[in-house]
Amino acid sequence: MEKVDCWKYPEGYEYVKSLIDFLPEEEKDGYLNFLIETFAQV
Amino acid sequence: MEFNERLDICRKAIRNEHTDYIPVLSNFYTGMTIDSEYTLQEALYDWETMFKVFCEHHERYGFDYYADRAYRNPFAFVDTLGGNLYKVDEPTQTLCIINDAVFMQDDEYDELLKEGYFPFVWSKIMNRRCTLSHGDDMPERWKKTFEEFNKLQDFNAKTQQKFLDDYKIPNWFKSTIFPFVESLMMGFRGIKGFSIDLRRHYDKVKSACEMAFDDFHKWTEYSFQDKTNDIAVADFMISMLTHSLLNEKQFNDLWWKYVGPDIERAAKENMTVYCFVEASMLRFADHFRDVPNGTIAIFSENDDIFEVREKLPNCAVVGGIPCNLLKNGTKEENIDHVKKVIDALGDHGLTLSQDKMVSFAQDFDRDNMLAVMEYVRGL
Repeated sequence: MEKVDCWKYPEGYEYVKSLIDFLPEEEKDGYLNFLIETFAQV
Repeated sequence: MEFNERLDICRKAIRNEHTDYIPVLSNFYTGMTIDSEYTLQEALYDWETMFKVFCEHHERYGFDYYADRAYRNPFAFVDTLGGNLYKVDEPTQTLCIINDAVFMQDDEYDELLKEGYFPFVWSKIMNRRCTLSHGDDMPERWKKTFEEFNKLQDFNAKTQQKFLDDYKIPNWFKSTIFPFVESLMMGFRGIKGFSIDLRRHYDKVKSACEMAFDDFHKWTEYSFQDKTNDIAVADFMISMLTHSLLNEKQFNDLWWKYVGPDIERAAKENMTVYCFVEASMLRFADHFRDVPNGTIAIFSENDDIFEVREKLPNCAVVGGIPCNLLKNGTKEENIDHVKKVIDALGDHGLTLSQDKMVSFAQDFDRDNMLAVMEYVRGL
């Protein structure tokens, strides 16, 4: 399997988003953005 | 006290109105855990333990609301990708900042401007900060990140429910006003790099602030649109952090330009703003002097609370419990000081609070804090 650089934008972002298997598609961007903002503030 | 009564009193205090009961806002952060029977390692990596720490903290002191709801250091979440800027020193039970956060170089402003805020954060800032995120185990690592982030969210929901339902405690604020310049200094360039950029790349710093405005303003805008606020004391919270490095012109260009219009709008829409100030803000007092009375409450770490009231009578004040005195004074000295604050400022617009983010054992003494609370509650 080809290794994905998860920090390449937008490909890596889309890859990470695809790993979110517990939310409907329309909620994934909001979730991932909030996660990154939370991380950045710590 | 019932929830609505407490909420009403806390709101009146930050609206610069008279209250018979003086509310006390807890400014305990890591100090909450240091004050508990648990070690930092035990509490910071287990939300069940942290929940006990927070509940016991409230039951011990009975503060009216909380600046930190015990989620300030979600280490289990951050550690999944690496890049935690803090570490626990076990022997001294101290939280140490590892170093200044420098994740953007001074020659990367053009790239930031070209790529835009979020793509740059993703491809540069997170990429560089998350030291554990470059191996072959990424799917599993991200799953763990989601798992820990969801635990953090569950913890926040659980504490909110517990404090609303059982303790009748409101939230601190509903939304934030946060200009990009704060992130540029704290999360991108660090204090040293940002200070040099102000001299060497000022136009690019200005352009970056302009470029990122929409990304940073979207939640503020949302809260202006949806004014529902049933559970929080303030409508907005502003952090003043970078201002210490700025002169008057830079403050105007990089901070006030983006925050001032929101303060004006909040005043027009009868909304409130809690202003959290690291260090001192009085050299910028002129900016706040004409803000309509009852819009802003000012908590300023290093300004004299009496001077804030004198220079900005249109603003409520928050503070009046010095951490240095809490740690090093006697019970009598602490009570005398709080009495002096209440006598001078307590007629209107006063919320008592520790004057620093209580983060270290040196910031407080439990018996002194209890004595202050006993005195204030006996009034």
